Amino acid sequence: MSRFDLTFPAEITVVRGGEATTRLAPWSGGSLLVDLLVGARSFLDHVDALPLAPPHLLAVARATIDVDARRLRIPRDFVGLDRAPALRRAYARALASAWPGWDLVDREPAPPTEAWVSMTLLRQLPEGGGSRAWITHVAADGAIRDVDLDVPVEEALSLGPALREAIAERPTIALAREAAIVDGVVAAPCRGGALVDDRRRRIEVWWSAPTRGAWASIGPLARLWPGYAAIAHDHGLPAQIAGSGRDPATVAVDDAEADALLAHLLQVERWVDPVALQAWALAPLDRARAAGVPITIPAEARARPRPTDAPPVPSPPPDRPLAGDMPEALRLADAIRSVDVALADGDPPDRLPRIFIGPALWLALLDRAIEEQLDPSARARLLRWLAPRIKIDAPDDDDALLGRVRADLDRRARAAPPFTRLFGWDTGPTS
Amino acid sequence: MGYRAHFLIREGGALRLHASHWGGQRLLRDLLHGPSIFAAYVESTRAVGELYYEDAVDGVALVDHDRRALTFWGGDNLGVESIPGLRRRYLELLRGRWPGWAIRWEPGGIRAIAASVAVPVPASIDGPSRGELRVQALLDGALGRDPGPRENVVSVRENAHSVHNVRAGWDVDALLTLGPRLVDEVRAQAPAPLPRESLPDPDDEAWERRGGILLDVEARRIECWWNWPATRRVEALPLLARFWPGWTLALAVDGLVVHAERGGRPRAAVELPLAEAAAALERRLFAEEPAGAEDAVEPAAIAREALAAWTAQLDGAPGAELTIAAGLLGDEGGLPPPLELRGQIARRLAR
Repeated sequence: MSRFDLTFPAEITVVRGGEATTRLAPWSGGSLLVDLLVGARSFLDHVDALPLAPPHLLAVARATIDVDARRLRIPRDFVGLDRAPALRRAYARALASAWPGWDLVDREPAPPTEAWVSMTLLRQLPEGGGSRAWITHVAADGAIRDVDLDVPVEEALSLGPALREAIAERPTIALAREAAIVDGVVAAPCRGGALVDDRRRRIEVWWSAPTRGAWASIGPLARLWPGYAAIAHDHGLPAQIAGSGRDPATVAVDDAEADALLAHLLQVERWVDPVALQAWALAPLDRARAAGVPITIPAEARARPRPTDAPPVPSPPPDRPLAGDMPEALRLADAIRSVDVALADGDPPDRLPRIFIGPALWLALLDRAIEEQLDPSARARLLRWLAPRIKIDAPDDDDALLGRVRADLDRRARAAPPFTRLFGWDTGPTS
Repeated sequence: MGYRAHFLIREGGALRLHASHWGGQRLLRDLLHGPSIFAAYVESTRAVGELYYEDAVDGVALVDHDRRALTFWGGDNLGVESIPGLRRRYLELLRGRWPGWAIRWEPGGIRAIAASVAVPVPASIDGPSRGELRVQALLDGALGRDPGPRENVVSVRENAHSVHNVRAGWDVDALLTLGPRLVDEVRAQAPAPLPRESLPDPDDEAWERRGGILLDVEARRIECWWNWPATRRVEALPLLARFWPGWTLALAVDGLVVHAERGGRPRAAVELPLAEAAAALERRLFAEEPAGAEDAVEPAAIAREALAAWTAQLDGAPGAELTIAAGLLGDEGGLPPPLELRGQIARRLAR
């Protein structure tokens, strides 16, 4: 009898009386952030009823609740709110309301445990603009220029003061709101930025996803800007605009707007119903069992009900526009596909890959839902995003592109070794 | 396949380009024949109109008859160039074979040599981006959290009478990211004696990147080196210099002996003993196998045999076509060894 570990797991560690216990919510990777908003009591009751997590679990979402210290921590990598600092602040407010008296948020990323950070030094800026960094330069005479670059902000700053000359001839861009719903997706205009202020001899840097490495790079960056004070902050684009002496209201979202964006992100765009997800993902196994293949689903891998008093969510979820994290979505689709492929090829069940895979739902969509569930504009957006990553030419006709992408994905899924089936999508083609 | 070499010949104000498919393998040995024989050999190779793309070049020599100057880089194919103590002795030997010529080893390889005569080098097809440098940037206090083993040397020269030497496990390029802060961090470390030059253990994978930094506080000048100052390291220097505003940063190709000399000590205090260096040169220059590896093979000969076998097979296959790169079969890969030097290197160096 073969066992499958095809889940979309959240992992929750509870510390009580100095002892840590880690439990598994097998299909709750897409709902953990919402579930936490029920508050400490209800959520802890829910967690205590969950099975223990197996060792070496590759969780999609994770949280640690230290009851002794009344401290809740969600690792930054799992927060999924890294499109704009305003979204993180909105979630922090919501969580603080649900967990009164608890210590909930790290003010900044923990320092690296190593004595170094990996850093990329550019010889020159690449041509053209992009959404990876917005730089605001305030010259000594007070002239202000905003430019967009297609390199991460810390790489742009690696040019040192020569950056000012490098952007001097570039066109200044029109500012945009730090976050907004665009085509049904919560979007931010840039992934980071910096204010370079020659008057105050100061650079101020921020990232939409402030990893500990990026945050720590401010020290080495400061050495590249002699005579300038260098600081990192988590206040995003509004602080960059305010630092240049302009009104940040032109780009800032207020608390109410941020709350609405957060609700859309968590309860619409990224929402995953654990029960529906399990049913969808295990469909290939049901087909296999119906065909007489002896496969069991471990009891601990069955979907659990959501915690008591969990916040309401759209049910059934509306057509999702398939935004979110594309590579994770592809991993999921690939994992699910691999089960079907293996069964179709007649592999003995014990040779089928054990799959712990991520953001399940997202790709539930690719093979099946890409065609059946997505509205035409969302599908076109996904396909146009996907085509260069799998290195296929994108014809103008959307239907032709769909056929080409699906054929290519199917070919790759069948050709890729198991390891790359799980991890290869976001690092390059596997052929 | 191949050990491609380029020869750039300047004569009568004109520049000519030549190429050899296998001549890069033992370029350093071929140069020891001296200017007359080497120039004749170069003339026997193929004249070309443009250079190979950079990563395909295993050796390059610029023979400037107008200025009587030789500049070369051999890709470390004989295991000489990545050992500073051997490299210096080889240059001594070579200068004796090219009397009246200015001899220079160019660690920047084909790109630097071609740039010096304004010849374009086609960009690599798959090589790493030349537009950026990925570096391990150290955080403040890193020297106190050294990962070890402490195989690199950092010296702070306060003045003509005071040099503070320490050992570090961080790589040279990582240390340079500390900028002027490095000076203070070195001062805070306990002094360590300078090591002595040695030959590498064949299994020492970290040998090539090991090196040192000499910080001259008064002159605000930095000299750094790696055992093998690969082209990418040489080209990284202007980027690393950004961490040192107001200082100059230069490559010290002579390696560890620079630390001794800047500290007022004779280079003999740290340099590889002459007898040891001469014996190692004999092995590397005259062994049938490159780099002194006893189980090494002769790639040029094997490749030619294999190619001949495949060609024979294809001849019998209907519709098959095979295009053979120019020089692949006919180019014998350089000159025979300069036998008059065999067993004589120690004596010649001792003169």
